[in-house]
Amino acid sequence: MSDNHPRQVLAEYVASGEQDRVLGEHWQHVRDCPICQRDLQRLRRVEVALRQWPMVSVPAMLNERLLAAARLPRSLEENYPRWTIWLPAVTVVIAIALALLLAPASLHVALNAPPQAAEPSLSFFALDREAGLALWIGMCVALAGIGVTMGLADSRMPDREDLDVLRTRASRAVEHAWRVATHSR
Amino acid sequence: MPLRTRLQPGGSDPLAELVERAKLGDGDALGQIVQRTQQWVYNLGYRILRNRQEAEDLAQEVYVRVWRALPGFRGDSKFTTWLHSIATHASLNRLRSLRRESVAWADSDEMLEHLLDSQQGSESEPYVESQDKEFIWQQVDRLPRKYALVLTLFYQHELSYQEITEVLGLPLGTVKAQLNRARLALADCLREANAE
Ligand SMILES: [Zn+2]
Repeated sequence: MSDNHPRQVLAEYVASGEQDRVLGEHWQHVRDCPICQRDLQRLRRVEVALRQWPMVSVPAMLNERLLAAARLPRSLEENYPRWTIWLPAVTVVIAIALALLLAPASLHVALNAPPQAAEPSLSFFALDREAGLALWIGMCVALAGIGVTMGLADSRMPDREDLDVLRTRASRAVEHAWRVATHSR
Repeated sequence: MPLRTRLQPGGSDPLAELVERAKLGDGDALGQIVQRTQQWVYNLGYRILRNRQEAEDLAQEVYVRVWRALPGFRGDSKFTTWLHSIATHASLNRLRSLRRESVAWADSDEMLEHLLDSQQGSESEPYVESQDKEFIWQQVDRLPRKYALVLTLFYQHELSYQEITEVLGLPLGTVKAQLNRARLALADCLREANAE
């Protein structure tokens, strides 16, 4: 139905306070068209209603809650950045340690391969399966640790219990991975 | 009500001094900023999430983000514009995570037409002309979120077109077109209601 009637222009016209210049070339059509005139009446009612549209009232306790949130950053400064630094650092160290502990011999062989070897010696494929596995596990641990840390750091709700649980579980998972890695030798 | 004063486009930022004090750790300034802006944040969250509890949680999340990011706020835009931007994006992210409804930012009149179709014969209250305003306000909550959002920013929060483009990251033409489509959708609601 809007093909022949400049409805967007009508909406703009009413919102502008009915300035004739907004109608432009459509002025005569709008004046003579009963459909546009009815549309105009409805748009005027919409405009009146929207200009008086009230915001929802704020709950009584919200102010206190927000002020409490405003006080959070200081404790965040003290607690969270440490997390964001040491957890990735620890996971990277674990990853390197895993690689070195599980396959020191293989790495040694790979790094000291004779120069006349047909293939370049320092390639991933030059390492044996054990070394490859170690590197793979190490990378997974590092990525997982960094991912968990970023998730925690990105969270804006540090007082939430579920995050504390998550933090504890992350620590346990890292400890568990460490034990598995050190006992697997 | 001070919050109903339309933000002056291009004018000086009425909160600039408080913001500078807050950046230096002035707790009283923080409190005043919360006091003067919380209704915008809560109202915006409510209009997008359509749930009071969610809007409260969201308001808290928004202010935590704001305080964390405040040291980096240089005042390139007004604080209120910046706050609206954070609140809008946080609300939309929350909405997505709730998976109540996907928000299509691309122009989607199909969504709107679908909505208007679905209203025919629905459980909406019988229309009485004297209840025009309440009826129209109710219909806003049935529009797609992107229309409810621009209507909220323009009519309730009284942001200028320029500020809305900054908050939403959309071109001026798109903002104006969305506002017009939203107005027409509400006019169509009136037509449907009168036809019943
Ligand atoms: Zn016409």
